[in-house]
Amino acid sequence: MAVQGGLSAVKLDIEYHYQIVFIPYRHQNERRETGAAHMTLDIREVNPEDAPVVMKVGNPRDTKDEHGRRYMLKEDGSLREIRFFDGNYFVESVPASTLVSDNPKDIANTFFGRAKVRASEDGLYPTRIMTGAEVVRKNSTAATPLRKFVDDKGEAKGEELRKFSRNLIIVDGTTFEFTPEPIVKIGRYGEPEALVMPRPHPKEKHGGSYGFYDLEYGDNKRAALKHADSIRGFAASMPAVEVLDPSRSTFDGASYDTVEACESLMSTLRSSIKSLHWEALEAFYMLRDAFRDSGKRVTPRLVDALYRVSTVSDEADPATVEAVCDRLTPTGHWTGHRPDRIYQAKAEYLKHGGVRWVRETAAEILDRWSLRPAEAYFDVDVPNVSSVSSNGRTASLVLSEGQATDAAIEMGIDPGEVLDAAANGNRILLSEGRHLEPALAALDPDGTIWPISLPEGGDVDKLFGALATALQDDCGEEQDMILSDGEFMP
Amino acid sequence: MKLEIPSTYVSEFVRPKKRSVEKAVMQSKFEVDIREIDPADAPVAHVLGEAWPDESEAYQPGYLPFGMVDGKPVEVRVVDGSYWVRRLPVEELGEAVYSVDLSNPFNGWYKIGDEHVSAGWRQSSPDLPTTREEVEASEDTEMRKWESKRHVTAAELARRAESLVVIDGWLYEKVAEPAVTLVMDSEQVQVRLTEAVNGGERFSKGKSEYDPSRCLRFGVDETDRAIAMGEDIARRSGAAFVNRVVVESHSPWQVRFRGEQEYLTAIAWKTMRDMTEEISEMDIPFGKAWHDLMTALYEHDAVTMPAVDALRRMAALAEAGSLEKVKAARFNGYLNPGGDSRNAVLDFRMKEVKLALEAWDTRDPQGIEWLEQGLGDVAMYKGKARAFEVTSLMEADALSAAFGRDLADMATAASAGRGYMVAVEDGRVIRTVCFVGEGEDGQSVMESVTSHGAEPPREHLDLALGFVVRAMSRKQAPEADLELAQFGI
Repeated sequence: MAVQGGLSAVKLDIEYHYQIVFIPYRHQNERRETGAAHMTLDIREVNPEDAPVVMKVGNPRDTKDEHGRRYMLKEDGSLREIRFFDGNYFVESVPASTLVSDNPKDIANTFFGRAKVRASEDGLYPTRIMTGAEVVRKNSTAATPLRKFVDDKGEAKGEELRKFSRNLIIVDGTTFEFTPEPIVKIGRYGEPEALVMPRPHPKEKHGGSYGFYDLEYGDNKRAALKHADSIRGFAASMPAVEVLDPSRSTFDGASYDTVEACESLMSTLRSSIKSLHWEALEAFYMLRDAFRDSGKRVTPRLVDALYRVSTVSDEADPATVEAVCDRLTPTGHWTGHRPDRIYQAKAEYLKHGGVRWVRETAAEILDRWSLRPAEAYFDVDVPNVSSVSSNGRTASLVLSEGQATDAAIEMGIDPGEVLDAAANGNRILLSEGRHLEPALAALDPDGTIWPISLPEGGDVDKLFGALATALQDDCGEEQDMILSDGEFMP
Repeated sequence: MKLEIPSTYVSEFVRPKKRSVEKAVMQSKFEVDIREIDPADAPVAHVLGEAWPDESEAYQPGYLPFGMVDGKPVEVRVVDGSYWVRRLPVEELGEAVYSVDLSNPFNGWYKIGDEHVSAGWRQSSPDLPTTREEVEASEDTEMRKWESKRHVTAAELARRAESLVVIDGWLYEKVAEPAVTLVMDSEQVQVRLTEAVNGGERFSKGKSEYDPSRCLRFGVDETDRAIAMGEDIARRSGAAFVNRVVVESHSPWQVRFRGEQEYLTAIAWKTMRDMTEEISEMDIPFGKAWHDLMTALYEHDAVTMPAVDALRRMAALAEAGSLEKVKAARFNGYLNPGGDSRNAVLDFRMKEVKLALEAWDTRDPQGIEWLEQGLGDVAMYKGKARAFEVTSLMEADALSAAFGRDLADMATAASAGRGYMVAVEDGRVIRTVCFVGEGEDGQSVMESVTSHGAEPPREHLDLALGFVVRAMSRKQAPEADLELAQFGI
């Protein structure tokens, strides 16, 4: 059957499971049985030419990570294909025929694994699969009717599955599942093993609602597949990776890692802010201001600020802190810890090593940043004030291929167009805000702004005028203060 | 002059077959001796008084250290460097000792050991027993143990009598130096009289306790200025102005109190504490000012020149709108309930800072205080030792009293700008006082005095000298001015 765009659809008849909830006569607690239902799904079938293979990946077969397992080597040891179709990535899964298999073991690791209750090793279901009528017959009589009987969860589950099935395509008889862009990532715990993993969601991670990707733990090392070599030094082992189309592997891992680590460093500094001596406090202020200006980007100002944090010296006069704290601390057993006393907090902080951890962390972040693949970053001068906010919109410079691609994909335009504009010596400007449609423009060296993509009714001057002026002036209000110190340059 | 004082005292007893100690309050008469002094030896320093037209219970005249007598100001005399205020005619004393409030000079709270007990006549005194036999008769048993604490109360009353003298047929009571005080609250600004040092133990349970951050105090010679300032504050804040004080005359030589630094210190601490919550949101100049203020206050307890400088910067930056961002960050609706009321606190603090600086700038120290002419630096620490500058006559007097030596020469020279008076504290007790400066012949000298009269320890002298050297070098390179210039203020 033909569906949109001349694509054909494969019809699949599948059985799925859901819960039947009921309360027997004179009972108080709910009981559940597993019910079964059938539905027909339309799954898109795509020509191989429309969905080219852009990369091949293969995590080790013994990968334990739930997400990593989606990218592991196939059973025969060959690499798994990633196809690119309609702006999205799809990872190779099982043959289409397996989806309709009655054997629960076959579908356990497929998209439809979640449609059925989990099967045991021998492929049997742990409970009997019943219909609604069976449940009623077994648990009630005419004299003892059920107190409650809910058998409508099957429809909701069916809807859910139908939604899932839209994330599925079939190419050459093999199913491919939707995936965010696969990247290389080094987890934090245990052996520093690099795995192919989905990229973090571009929106949710920074200033969104709580989502799945927030479950990731801090200081990750991540890179696009084509830049996997840049983080090879951190990993004990690397997955097998083959990139066929480099323009489809653009994730800006260095910026993501640096910005995230900066955020956590700042929150650490914030929580011990009373204990910092002036040099450290000033470094914190500079980091904070640079971070506010940078948004999700890594600007030279942010790097300067990080460098400053990494070179903060120890408290110049720890003896005085100790002496003041001693003098303030009342004697007597009943006067214990008084956290409101700043010098006690200071003395405690010094006792635990002071700013040493902060320095080391900042140095680590700089190390990570220094390993960025230089070719993925635009060669532009970034002034101290490189973003302008008003009315909930922030206009800023785009600094890397990855950021440009993310923005282009979000706006539904071809990333190549943006990258070409950047390659021709233009600066790329991005205007975005929460719940607002983003806009992209190019600023050529003469100072003319060319719109690339604007929201409906958008005005180039309104969106980018202030930023362009600031960039042309090449200095902001705060620049003098930073430069007057001048002594720190990485 | 011998006098019989009726008072209560405590006896401890244990009943037969019991273990716990019980107490009985007894009454008795104690004989005390009150000094009589020739009026020629006790010159009148001030004539002043505080009056409450309505004799409300909260403000009984007896609670006032400088209350008027019969609606007229009273003499404050100086004997041996301490102040004595006229209370009542000696003939009335026989009656007054039976009074149950603080108009009875023997009434009050005393600390005996770790306990606070009251002495003097009480409402219930006539019914109290006088002997052990009476107690045993009323309890109908013979006590196993009996210990009278009469001697303790007797000693306390004798000590109390030492703070009373009879001059010219009037009873005088020892007080600290009077200070003209503006008590500021939202409804009224009152002019009152308080003791400069809040040590009058007899009044400490009374109403003479005050909150230094709500009271701007002045020396007695500054009454006109205090009243003018009080009227100004009342006019600006829309409060009523009430003057309860009459200063008929004062002797400028007997004034050693200046209150501006005290007020500025109280306000500086409060401001610093309230700002602490906000430091992560401040801009860099304001953060620097906060940090300087915090460091200076903690290292010295009271304001010094670095703290005053930081406060000035804060006031200037707040004026320039530096706090607006902080306040905006705090006031963001449901995420931050109470944000606006805390913003109001910030505004209020900055107003107070302005007032305190205004008082500080218009003060007239007259050699009573010399913080600005002196080193003006925060204390310097070395191990448990701490060196700091003595910058007022009152501090010098307290040191004289503690050391049992006359340090007036040092204080005079320091106030005249001929040198610096530095005290060294070790283990929270002041051990050594040094004077560093030029002597009468123009040569530089270093004199030192210790509390026990022995040679001062070498390390104390080194610390004092190190303190002076550090403060001088800081004075010559005033960092703070440069910073202010950098921020265009």
